[in-house]
Amino acid sequence: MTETVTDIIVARSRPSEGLQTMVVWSTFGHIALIALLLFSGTRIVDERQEPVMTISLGGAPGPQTGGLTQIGARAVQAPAPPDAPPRQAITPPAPTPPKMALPDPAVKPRPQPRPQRAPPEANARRENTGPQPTDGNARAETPVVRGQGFGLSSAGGSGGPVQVDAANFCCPDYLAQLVTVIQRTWDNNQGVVGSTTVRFTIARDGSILTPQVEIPSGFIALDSSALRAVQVTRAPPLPAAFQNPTLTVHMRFDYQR
Amino acid sequence: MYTFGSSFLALQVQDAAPPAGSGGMLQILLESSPLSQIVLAILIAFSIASWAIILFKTISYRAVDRQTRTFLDVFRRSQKFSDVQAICPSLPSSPLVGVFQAGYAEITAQFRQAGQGTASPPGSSSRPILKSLEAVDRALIRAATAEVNKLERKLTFLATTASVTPFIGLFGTVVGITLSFQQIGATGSTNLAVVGPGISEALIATAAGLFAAIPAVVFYNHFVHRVKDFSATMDDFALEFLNIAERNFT
Repeated sequence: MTETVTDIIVARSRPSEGLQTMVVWSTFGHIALIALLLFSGTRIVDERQEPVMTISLGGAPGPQTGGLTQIGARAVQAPAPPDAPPRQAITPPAPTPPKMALPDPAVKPRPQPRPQRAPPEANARRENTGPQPTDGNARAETPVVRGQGFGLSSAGGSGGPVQVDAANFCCPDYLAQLVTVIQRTWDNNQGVVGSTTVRFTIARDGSILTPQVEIPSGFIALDSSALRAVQVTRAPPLPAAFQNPTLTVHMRFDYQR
Repeated sequence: MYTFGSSFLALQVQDAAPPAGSGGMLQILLESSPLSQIVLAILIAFSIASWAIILFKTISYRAVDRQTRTFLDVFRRSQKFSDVQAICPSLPSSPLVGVFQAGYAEITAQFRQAGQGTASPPGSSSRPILKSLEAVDRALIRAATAEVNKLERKLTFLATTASVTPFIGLFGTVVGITLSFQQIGATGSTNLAVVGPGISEALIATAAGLFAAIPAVVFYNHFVHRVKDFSATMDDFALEFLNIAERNFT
């Protein structure tokens, strides 16, 4: 019993023609390729002797130097001379020790002349023989003049720019010194008119503790400038006549422009 | 691809060629050991066969592609299966022709049986009825399988070439290098003039193996992809055929 579908499948499964032709073509192609490789092998490896170009940096060895000047008659790389004797190291002669001069015990030291006092007439300054000056209690007025000098001064009396929290502070010289020291670091030229009071405490060794703006001027630049001037200052130590361990100072900074 | 392969080999050979004055390629091959000559002959035979298959399959797949498109065009424009059957002999390469012929033969056989049973001639005005649509499906599947087998025929040789020829070439190289080491031992010198030609000759075997393998790998992958495409087209066509048969004959 045969089936029509099977017949069709068998008929279509027959190997198709053309492979043999391709085998022939492929063989020819390979033969051509191998022949090309084999017989062009002499051309792949180039056996021609190319003329070698030599460039001598020291000039040509012959008389025709082609415009180059020869360095010298010597070859650049001369062979080393055979059996050269080893060179001895040159050592400098040993330094002679310096002669030591010993004191001669037999020689007696020469007597030195004793210094003599000058006569009293040679002194330029005469001895003070008058009465000694004593400390008085009179005071000279030193009022603050606006628009002159710095805006920071130590005029005495209450209500001045520098006040201290100690009753009857002994030493106005110290305050003047303090004002001078702070003025060195104070930039009073801020372009604004104003007045800032800074409160700070001076320890015994002169270090400044807890500076703070007490009465602000209303301008941050003025306040911070005054505060900075106090902060970077190292005050002189408190005078010995002042007994308290610390001194609290209220300092007013007047900016006049 | 062909010229690329040749230039590749030329480069290899140029690198492996001996220095000037020791003779050309022909001399090297003639002076080489018989074992490496055999290895080279095997590799060349593999290469010839795989290139023959590559050329054959390229041409036949191109015909398959073209005829399949023509067949689908005709099939979708025709009104009757008999019209399609009439052009089938002119498109022998297309696998769809085999699938169609199998389905058509099955349908015709069923009609003929039904006609004998009821004594009414096939193709008469009364609408013919299919006895079994599953039988038509089976016939289509059988034909599709046979067509795929036919398309895949000889592709296995390409796969074999791709995987085996590098090893054959390597074998020839290893044997050749072994021999040249023996030569070193015999002459007692490691001079390049003694070692060089032997190693050069040995490396030719590896180059030949790669020369045979690389096109085989490339074209095997390409052809497998093509066959997968054709198989998908056939499955699609079989379903289309079944739909038409079910719509018209049940």
